[in-house]
Amino acid sequence: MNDHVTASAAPDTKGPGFRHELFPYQGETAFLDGAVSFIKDAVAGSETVLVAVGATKQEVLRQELAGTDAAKSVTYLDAAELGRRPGRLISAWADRITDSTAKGQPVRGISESQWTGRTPGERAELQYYEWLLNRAFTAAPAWWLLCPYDTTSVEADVLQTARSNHPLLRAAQSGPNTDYQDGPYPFPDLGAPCDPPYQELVFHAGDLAQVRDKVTGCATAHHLEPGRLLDLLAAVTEAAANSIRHGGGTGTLRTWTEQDELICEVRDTGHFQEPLAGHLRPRHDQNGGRGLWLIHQLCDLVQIRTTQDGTTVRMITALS
Amino acid sequence: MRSICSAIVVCSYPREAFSVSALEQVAGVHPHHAGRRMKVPDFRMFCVGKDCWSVSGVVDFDGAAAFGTAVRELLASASTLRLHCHDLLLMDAAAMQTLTDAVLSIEGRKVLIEGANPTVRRNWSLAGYQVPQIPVELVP
Repeated sequence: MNDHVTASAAPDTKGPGFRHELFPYQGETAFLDGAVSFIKDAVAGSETVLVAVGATKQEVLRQELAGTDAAKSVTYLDAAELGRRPGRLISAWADRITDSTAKGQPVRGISESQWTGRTPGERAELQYYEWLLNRAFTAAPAWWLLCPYDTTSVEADVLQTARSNHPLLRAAQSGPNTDYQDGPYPFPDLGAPCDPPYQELVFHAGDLAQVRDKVTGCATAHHLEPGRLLDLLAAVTEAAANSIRHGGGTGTLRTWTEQDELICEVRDTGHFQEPLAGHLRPRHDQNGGRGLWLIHQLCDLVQIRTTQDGTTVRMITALS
Repeated sequence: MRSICSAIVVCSYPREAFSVSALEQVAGVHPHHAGRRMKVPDFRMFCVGKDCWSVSGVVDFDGAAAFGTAVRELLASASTLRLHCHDLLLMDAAAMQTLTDAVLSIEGRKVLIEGANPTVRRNWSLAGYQVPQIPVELVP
């Protein structure tokens, strides 16, 4: 595969809307060629430039851009922190795009997700949020996100999923990505709670205190720090309240631990169709719609599966 | 009862004369409890000074309606209502919405939330309410 990209190969940046482009490359030199030309084009067009890559890549980019006009124009973001909680990714980008477009500046971003050291659950959610970006920014003003993938180190299945999640492909001939799958998203199965047996509580209206008692019992048995316990209780309360309000008036809480993580799962018979629910920062005057948002902000990882058969919300908190 | 005098008042409620829900509501507005233990209310709210009420426990979807009713009643006669929240553990999205609806329902009213813990403060901000349009202020 020819991953070398030059400025001349870049598509027109002035088109409206969101451009979400996969950039497969081989090795550091190819990365620099593609990233630097992308950044220099953006700076020449007075666009805001945001770069979320690992620390090593960040350093080589800084060195490569040193002494150029672009050097002071790039805002570097902590890719590890951004990707640690995938449920917060969309709002993190949205906040920055809003700030920039308020000044009349289009935005270009480079986002290289960190795939190593992630749990299978984190990896699956990160892949889903890459796909969800396409839905989140359909109405965005000029905003172009380049997602580099090092084909020499990224696992084949990760790259294959990336090909399905990006509408555009940056290669020798940049343009539409024929592998792109425009939904519905093929969620991986969550799997069953692991051994030892999980604890379960069926709840109804008036039972939220019992729900919290159950979570507290499980969390304290595993020495979860009090501040984090409060965050978890707030999240589980929101999920359970959603079940009571929107999920048929009742729900089921399950709690268990798995590989140093405390998992709280709330299931009900409700169903929602808006994939962006809970991913965009609420306005002060909006009525409702804050529960899922708070859950994403309070938990380390959130996995949501909603079908006609019901909705499952898994809230995962690291125990160490 | 407002704590404007140095007195101890015991309010007696025979169990056989009241429903469980009525007793729970009554417990919610008394800071202390004597006698045989009953279910602890999720949140308690009682007066600790002029236009200043203590809120403790958890105000969630289950208790949001009662909380909203209480706040509206208090705001009917107070331009600024102070909620002493040092012992408030959590306030969920439903309760936050109820509070903002209540304070916005009467023009010119304001609520001060005092001593809220970091989780309550952060969730208030995350929920989008920490803006000038919402006359609720979180203070130390």
